[in-house]
Amino acid sequence: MTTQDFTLPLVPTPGVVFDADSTLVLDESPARRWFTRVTIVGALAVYLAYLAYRARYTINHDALVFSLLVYFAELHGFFSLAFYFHTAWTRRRRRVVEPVKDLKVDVFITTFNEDVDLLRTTVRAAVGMRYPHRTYVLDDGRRPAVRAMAEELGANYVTRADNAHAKAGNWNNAFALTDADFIASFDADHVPRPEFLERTLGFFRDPKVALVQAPQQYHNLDSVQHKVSWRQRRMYGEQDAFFELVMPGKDNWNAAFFCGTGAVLRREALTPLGGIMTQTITEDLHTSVELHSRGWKSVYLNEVLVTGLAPSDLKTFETQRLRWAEGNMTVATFSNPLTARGLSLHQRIAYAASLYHWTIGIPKFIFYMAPPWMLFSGTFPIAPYNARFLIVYLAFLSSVVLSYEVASRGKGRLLMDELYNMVSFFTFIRAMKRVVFGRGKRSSFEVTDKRGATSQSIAPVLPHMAIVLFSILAIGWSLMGLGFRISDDYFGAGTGIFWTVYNMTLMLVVLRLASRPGEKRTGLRFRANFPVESQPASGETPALGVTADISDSGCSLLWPRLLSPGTRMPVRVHLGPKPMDQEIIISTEQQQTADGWFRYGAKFDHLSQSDVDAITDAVHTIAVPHLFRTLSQPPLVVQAVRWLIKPFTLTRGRARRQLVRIPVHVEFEGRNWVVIALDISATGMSVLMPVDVSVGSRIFMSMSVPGHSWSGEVSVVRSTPRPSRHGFDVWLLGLQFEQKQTERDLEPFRMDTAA
Amino acid sequence: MLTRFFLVALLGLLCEGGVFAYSYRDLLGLRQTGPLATPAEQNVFVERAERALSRQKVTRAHLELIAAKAQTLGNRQLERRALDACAQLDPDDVQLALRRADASRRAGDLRRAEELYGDVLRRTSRRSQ
Repeated sequence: MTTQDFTLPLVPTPGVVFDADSTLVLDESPARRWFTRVTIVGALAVYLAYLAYRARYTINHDALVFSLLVYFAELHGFFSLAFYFHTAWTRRRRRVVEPVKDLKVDVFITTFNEDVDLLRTTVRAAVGMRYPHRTYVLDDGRRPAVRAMAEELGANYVTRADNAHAKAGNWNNAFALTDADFIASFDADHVPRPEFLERTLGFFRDPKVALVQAPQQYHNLDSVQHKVSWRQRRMYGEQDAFFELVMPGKDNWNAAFFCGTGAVLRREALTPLGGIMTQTITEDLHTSVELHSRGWKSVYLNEVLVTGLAPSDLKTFETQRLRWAEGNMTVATFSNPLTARGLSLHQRIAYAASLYHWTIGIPKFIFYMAPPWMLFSGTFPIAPYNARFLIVYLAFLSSVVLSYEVASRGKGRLLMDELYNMVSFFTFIRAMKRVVFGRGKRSSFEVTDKRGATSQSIAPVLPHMAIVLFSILAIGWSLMGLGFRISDDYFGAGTGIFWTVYNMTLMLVVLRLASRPGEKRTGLRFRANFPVESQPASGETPALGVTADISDSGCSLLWPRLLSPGTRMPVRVHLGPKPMDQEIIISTEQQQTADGWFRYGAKFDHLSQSDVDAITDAVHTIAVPHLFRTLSQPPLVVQAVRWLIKPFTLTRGRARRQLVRIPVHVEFEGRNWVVIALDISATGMSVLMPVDVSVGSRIFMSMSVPGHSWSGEVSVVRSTPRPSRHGFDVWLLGLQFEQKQTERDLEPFRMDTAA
Repeated sequence: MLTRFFLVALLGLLCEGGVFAYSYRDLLGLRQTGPLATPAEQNVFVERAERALSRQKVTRAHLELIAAKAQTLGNRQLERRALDACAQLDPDDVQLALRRADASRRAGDLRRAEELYGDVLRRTSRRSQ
């Protein structure tokens, strides 16, 4: 997923109307594309040959049921891989098109029971989007506080007498009451960026486009579906593969579908349907099938234009996945993509892939249970189970792994994907059971809890616990058998133990996820660096520190001096263009970091609503986009390859940049600012400025870290406006030192950003 | 949570040890077989051997042990059954086929002994050609 600078030029189009297909451009070289395709075809051929070999030579007739179950699981894997390869066949991206002016746009924010504070952030962001529009808060909770908040922020409030058809019914109610030609849809926790409408509306110049969908990215990186390595500056999100690989792939076949939030829809397309579909609990996918089968087009724009909240605990995660799995599979009973009229072959395959994915639970269960069952029973699903089979199997496995990596274009994380399949396998089985044995009962729509559980729950991992226990006992049984010479099958036991330990290790990671402590804070804490300046009595020199993270109740503060708990200190927090004066109370003991800073937990003493809004604006305008840019390093293998080929490339090398978070004093044309430096190199640095400074200007700046300080003149070599809402403008300035600095000069300023 | 879970797993392993010992008491006992000096010891051995031979899976080492002890005791039927089970595990073992033929001969089943000797001769002559 790319985090797009708004300054990237929009594609000018000569006429008002155009074909949206012309915005799809290849995202890889022809050589790379053909390499991928040859790999894909080769891997499928190898898989088919393996299946044929298995069927012909290795079915164990002495344990036929066991053997056929494992064979079925492998066969299921073949179709999964084939569907994935169909999606990954061509990699394209969308060029953004400038929208027509003065379109009538409504923004719908659906809510039921979410916190008003959380909703406030979304509504403020929606109202603050730059393209002219009206914002509607659709409240199925009928809460006066939400009405008051909506009115305060300039949004319209819509509610209804009942909650029929849950979110879809809520949406359709507003659809009937409004008349704009285009409707942007957001969940209560999905915060759109100011440029959301400007980036998406242009595609509607094509009169056949019914839907433009943006990816869902999540800003609570401590959620259960994220794994972040701050040191390597890498992030894994459980849905990254879907939004970075699968959806662009579907877009290539005009099969990208509505994901319920972060999308814009055309009223004309929805009117014959009466709005969005209400028969299933995944109205988004169902609506998309209906739109595509009526000949409408969809567009997927792979830019982070909206961020939301991912489930913070496993129970919430499982509730959400159960709804998705059940709802998506139920779509087949209403609008079966294999038989629905009007869909192209590729659209049918793409939708079938989406539905097929949710059936993965049973084959996964077979794969988890087969190795321990082998150890317990001493029977094998494969016979003869010998070195020859092992060679065939290893060749097949290597082919699958390598082809997956190639088709994923360096973005695949096979092990992590496997881990989250393991997290959800039982939920998928439950969903299948509900769909198959539901006997026509209508499923209930369960709203995903945005705040997460406050205590641990082992319920979602009871099946995993049972499998781990079974695996431990199976290994114990097998080792006792070998130890007491009851069995002498070291080869079979060794293989069984290897796969059991492999699965069990992943299962233990799942159990660890479930045993994470419950969320104690009521507010979200963002990893965000804002300069903090003390406001001492006259005559004293103010100290400069920086926040390591911030929430609407306090912050984690990196400070150059020693403070004792309970200390009250007036400070100015420089939230981009909005400095906030506050008194903070040091609440936790200091920890000195390796680079000399002291780290404190600090609470804000009295935050007004406008202070909270300023923090929210700063976080979502400055910190969150920066966070995604920071954590976008490619996999280690890709980095290593780049490093190896670097000497042979013709590109001019740039000075090595180090991410930092240094508070910097800036003086320009007689005015002073305290800003944050984002990176530093021997030749210059980048800072976020609340004012535009023209290229070529010279500014005076000073920065200090514990034990070191630097001041001098620098020239502005680059000035890039960052997308922001009105009144909250920031520019990314590239600054060049007068003299190139040495490594020794810079060393003290290279703060440990991973701390 | 994980600590408690592993305690349960440990308890499960202990119980499993007991189940294992009970389930394989025949095979574990065979390994401990001494000189079979008394009739009581001989009876226990035969009982364990019968039980072991009724299993679907027994290692070659166990079968060899049963065959050897049965030969010592003069229990020809048991010896033959143990060697037959060995032959199912390793049908290409010519030495084993020879032992089976000897055991049949000792048991008085000359017709079967002849068949097995003939089989050994066929196999060894094929090999020498």
